[in-house]
Amino acid sequence: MYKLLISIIVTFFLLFSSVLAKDLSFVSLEPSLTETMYALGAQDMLKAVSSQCNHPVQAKEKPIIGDYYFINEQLLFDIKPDYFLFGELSFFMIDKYEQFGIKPVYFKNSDIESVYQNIFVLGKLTNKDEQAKDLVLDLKNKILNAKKMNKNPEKKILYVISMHPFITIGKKSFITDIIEKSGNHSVTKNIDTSYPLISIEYAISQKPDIVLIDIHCKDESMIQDLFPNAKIIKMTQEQTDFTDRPSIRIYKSIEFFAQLGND
Amino acid sequence: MSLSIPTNKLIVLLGPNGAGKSTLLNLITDNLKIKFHIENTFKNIFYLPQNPYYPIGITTFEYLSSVFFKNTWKWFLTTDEKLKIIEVLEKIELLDKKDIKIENLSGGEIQKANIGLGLLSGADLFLLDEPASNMDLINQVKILKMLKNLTSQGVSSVIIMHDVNLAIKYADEFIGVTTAHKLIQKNVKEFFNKETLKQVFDIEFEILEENDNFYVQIID
Amino acid sequence: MTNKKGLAFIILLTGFILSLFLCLFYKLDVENSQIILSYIRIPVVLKAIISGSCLALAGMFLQTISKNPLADPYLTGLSSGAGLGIVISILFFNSQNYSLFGFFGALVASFIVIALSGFSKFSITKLILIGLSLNLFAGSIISFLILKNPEKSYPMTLILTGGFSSADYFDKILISLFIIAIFMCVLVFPKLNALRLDTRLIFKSQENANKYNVLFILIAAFLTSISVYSAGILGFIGIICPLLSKLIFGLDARVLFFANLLLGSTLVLFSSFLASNILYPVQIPLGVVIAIVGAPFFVFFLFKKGGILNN
Repeated sequence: MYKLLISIIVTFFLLFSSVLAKDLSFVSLEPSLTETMYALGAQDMLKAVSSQCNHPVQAKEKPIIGDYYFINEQLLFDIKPDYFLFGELSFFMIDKYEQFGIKPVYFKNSDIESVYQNIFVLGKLTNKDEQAKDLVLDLKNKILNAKKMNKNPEKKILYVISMHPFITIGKKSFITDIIEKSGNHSVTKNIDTSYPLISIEYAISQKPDIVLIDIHCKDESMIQDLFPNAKIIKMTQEQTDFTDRPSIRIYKSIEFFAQLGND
Repeated sequence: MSLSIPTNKLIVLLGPNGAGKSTLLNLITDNLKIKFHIENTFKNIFYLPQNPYYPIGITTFEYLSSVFFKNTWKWFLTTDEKLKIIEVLEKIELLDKKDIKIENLSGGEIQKANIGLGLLSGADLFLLDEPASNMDLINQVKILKMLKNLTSQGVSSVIIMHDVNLAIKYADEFIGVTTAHKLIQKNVKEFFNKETLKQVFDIEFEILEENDNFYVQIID
Repeated sequence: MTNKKGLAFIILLTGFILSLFLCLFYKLDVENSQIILSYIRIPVVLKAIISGSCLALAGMFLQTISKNPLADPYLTGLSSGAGLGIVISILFFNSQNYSLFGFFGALVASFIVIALSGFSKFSITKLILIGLSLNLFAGSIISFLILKNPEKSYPMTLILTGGFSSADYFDKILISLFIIAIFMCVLVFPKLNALRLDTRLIFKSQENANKYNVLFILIAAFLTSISVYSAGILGFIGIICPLLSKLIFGLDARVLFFANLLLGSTLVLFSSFLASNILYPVQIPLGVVIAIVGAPFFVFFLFKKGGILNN
């Protein structure tokens, strides 16, 4: 009788906890994390996204919880998610929700390795470890193939985020990592911050082969004069869409950077 | 109400606080636009407020030269103007201190420099709001003497003062301003009788006369 | 005394020429010297001279009129007006000509403040208070707009810190505006000698100098807007240059005109040299360098014997 009672309780508890696990809910502030959630097949657990989350297209239909700095707290407490996924930009404002039972999870986005890590962590949180492993394996394969597309490696690339003021990518930017992985080099890879304000003279002295101009950079009229020997490429909206964020489409940006030297 | 200001006289404005002495000066300068008849034949008026501001780090000569930049847009002073400044410095007894920074002068000397500004501006009527306040007796006397001397050179002054006995010694004429904003304009002898003083200050005074000199004293 | 001033002037001139040479030829890459000089260094030098001298002269005007050593060129709500112009141009017009927007923003803001403080019954206290309110008002709009657009907040913050990053190289408009402004200054500057006196002094039957206050504040606003056009919002120069030049050269506005021209441009030139070379190749925003170098320098002069605090 006693044993029966215990086994009933244990069974009940197990059932209950599995029900609980199925009903996990998430809110994401990072576009790249939103994408990973969809790729893991965990989109139903995602209850709200940020206003910046535009990929995949279905993500736009989710309720909007806010952007990097402003959060619709009314909506947040209505949803009362188990996990609040956020990146570097929103770092300073999430912790306070922990006392209401909303667990904040911070994701680093500095290089490709961190993209793999993020997929594993999300897989664990959503109980989709297997899918996460498959996803990472698939991604690694795609990246390997992407690198092989580089027929003319070791090109020196200058990536211009903004001309006035002159901002490029530094050591800590994930774009630098992508360029290195594609077999080319970023001329500003040794500068110690993510998006440094640098001297144009330094960029000229590095003699870049290719100058890439970010979509947000509006004034490129002078670049031709400053870099007369370089090939100048203005990025399109479509290209920026995947180079802009460290998501699971990262292999596409590696393909893009790998093919830059090919004619 | 009307007021006439005679030429070549030192006129002292007397009256209790709040009676409107400063307002009267402002009326004379046309700074206030109130219907009020002032009879005067003066061409240039110079008004010096109470405790005027002076810039720090400027020499006496430069301070006086400021006047000549008022009217024109020119870059350089003419020799005539420079000579005139020297002349005025001599008149106000500051020639030996012309290269000394004005903040290092005594209060009396600064006030002299201010009077020098008026002289340089070519004013024939000086309106001075308590020019001798916060000064020791000797400096007060020096300032008043200087203004008295100027009357013989064609410069009249209207001064607000509080020291009645000192005023008697130098003033040619008095204007009393009562708390009811009435003006009583009389010369020294007529002004200093018990009735007029009572009217102006609302207090009983005792008047002592000795060899044509007047002294007033408050009766408790 | 005159010898001492002459020596100070020579030192200042040497400093100016030295900073000019450092800015133009320090570690010049010989191979690309033509591109670097014509596209980068000469425009920066021009902009440094324009912004520095405009700020110093504007500060001179405002400090003389208000008779307050703390008056600075951004008194008339100008900095936030300029900032708002810059932010709006980046966000809503997606324009790289943000410095032109900053220029107009600064002009509009100062016109509003000067108009509100009254053309007829003008008082400097009114001006300061209204300028302060506009600064707070526009400042909070700027913060809101920046926070609402996180993807552009980084470049916007950099631009608002002040620097020569604007797109207009060899800008003819900027140079002609500067020449007009300097011409205006040459015309009116000696008049500041009369404005040294107490504003309550009245010289009847002569022009009342106080009626020029509004004109001079307008010129100061124009000068400051030009400096915004060339270098964004640079603090400190507009306060420190008039004060320092007064300490060194006395109070004659005619001398101070040249002193401020030189001192303002030298300080900005030298700061821009430091800004681009301390952490080379990383650039420190110019506004940051000026504040870091300027503040201790300023405090030193405040406490120096014969300085402002000793009087």
